[in-house]
Amino acid sequence: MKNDTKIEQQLRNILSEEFIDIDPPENFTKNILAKLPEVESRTSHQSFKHICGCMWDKITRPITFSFSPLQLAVVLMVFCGSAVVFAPLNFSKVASRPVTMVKQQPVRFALYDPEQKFSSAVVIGSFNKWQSRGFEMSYDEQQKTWILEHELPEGDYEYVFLVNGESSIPDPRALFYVQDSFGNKNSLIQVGGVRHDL
Amino acid sequence: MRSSNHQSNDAVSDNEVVVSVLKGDTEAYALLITKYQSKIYSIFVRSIRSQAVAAELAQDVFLKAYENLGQYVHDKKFSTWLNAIAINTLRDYWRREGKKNFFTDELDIEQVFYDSSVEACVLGRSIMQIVHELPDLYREALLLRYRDDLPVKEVADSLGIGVSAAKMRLKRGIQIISNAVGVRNEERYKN
Repeated sequence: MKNDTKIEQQLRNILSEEFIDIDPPENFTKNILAKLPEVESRTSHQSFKHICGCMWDKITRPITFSFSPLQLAVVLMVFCGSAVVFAPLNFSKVASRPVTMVKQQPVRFALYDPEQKFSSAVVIGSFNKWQSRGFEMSYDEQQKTWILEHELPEGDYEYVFLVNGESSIPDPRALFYVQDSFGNKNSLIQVGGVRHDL
Repeated sequence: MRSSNHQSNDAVSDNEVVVSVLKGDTEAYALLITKYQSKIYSIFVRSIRSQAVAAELAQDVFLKAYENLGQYVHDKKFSTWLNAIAINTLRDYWRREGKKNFFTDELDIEQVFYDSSVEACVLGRSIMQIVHELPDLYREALLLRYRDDLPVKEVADSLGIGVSAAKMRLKRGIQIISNAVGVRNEERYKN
């Protein structure tokens, strides 16, 4: 290169001549390919039939509502109050306001637990302010894996799995890890590209 | 066995292969493994003495990449993404081994080459040896920039660090080598 210093030129020559990549042991590719079906079974998205089945179960599952007279009174008061507050608003203006759409990407969290040692698993991270509600994973008997499918806006997110409601563990299959300011190891998911200083 | 740094197999682009794999053609993934196995395996072999451990970690890189192929963004090079996964896997390995500093050690240039290493320099260490002894992040940064001829931005992405951090690694790496060579020459001159 034209602008290289002398030492840079020396480095270029030495590194390209002497630092040659080494072939891995025999059967390297074969070993990886042999493990892919196992990975496939853990990572494959749920089949359409399975998803439909789950949705049908949710729709047809009986739901029981129970509330006290006091709760009913509070709900009625809130309903009446909101009617008074919002009635004078010009809804056509509100409707015509431009809406900024945040691009959501599907993400899938999976925690392989073949012996179902955990009684529960929740994904907590920077996307849900490390709260344990709302990101509960469900156990898939066939895949022997805790799974959560969700959508997140593009960005980098740190997360861990909260298992049994008390212990947090980083995702053993995450691509990237970072350490927080307390020295804890968090997994990192990059939705939509690399932007993070690891 | 040694392998050439120049990769063949470019007839089909990596992105096309990735799309095929994502569509369910699992066997197409073998093309990517074959193309990058030496590069990825060598990152581990340069850092870890055990070839068996290096091979295991390199295999895991390809498996994790496969599992998370949906996270790969096509406006980056696949090789850059794979390299970043390998570097992160290596970093995690050294963390588990309790030797994080071995990987990212923030070098005190003055101390390194005017204290402990002077003796070694006198014994005639080559630039090669110095590069071998650098912490992983410095060595890999130099290799990506000066052997693979990547632009600094791509060096940064391949290491999973920011551009300014990559520039700093390169600058310090060069400085360390310059200092070491300088010290060696001074010693030779004295004698």
